[in-house]
Amino acid sequence: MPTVRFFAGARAAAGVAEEQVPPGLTLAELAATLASRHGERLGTVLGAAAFLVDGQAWHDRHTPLPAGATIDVLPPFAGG
Amino acid sequence: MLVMAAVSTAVLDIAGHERAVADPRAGAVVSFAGVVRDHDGGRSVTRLQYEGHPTAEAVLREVAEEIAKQPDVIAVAVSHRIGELDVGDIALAAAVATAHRAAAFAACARLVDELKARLPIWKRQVFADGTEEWVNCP
Repeated sequence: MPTVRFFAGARAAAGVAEEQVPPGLTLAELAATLASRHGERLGTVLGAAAFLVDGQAWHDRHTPLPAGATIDVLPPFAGG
Repeated sequence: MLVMAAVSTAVLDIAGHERAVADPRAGAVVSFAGVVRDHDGGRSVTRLQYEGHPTAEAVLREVAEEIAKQPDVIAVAVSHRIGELDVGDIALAAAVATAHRAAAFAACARLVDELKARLPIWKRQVFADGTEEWVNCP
């Protein structure tokens, strides 16, 4: 099963640092699943977030995520 | 040449970055300190926490290498601190050495701008009234 890791404000909105999700979801379906689990605040963060799949940037919202992938949710950066 | 690129909880020191880029060919060294300030958006800030993604140091290195590869850049040193910081602490330290000053100012500014855009680091502000926020997070 894919694992989702939440960072910074995404973790604060989700209330967990990581969790598993059903296999075969697209990014769009994943976002909807996570928002329904954790609430609209996380849904808003997901709308502004970038995603890494196994460490690589992932922009495709409509192709199923790889089985066993690790998906990182990166809210907008604020370094410096 | 990239001489230093680190993301860690260590206290940062601008003079150390300036020394790291020292070179007999360098007629200009421009440094930058990103410092924790006591206010944001009109509210009083008491504390900051920086969190880095596991790839933060690799991204810092990639961005710094791009600047260091520019033909007029002699040396680049840059570090970002993570963890709990107090007002006045340095969060980002950078130094760039070039032969002439205009190139050093431009390269240091571009380095900081690129890091602001690309570095996977996040900042949580704690305000004087006890509330907090993750900066830039909706």
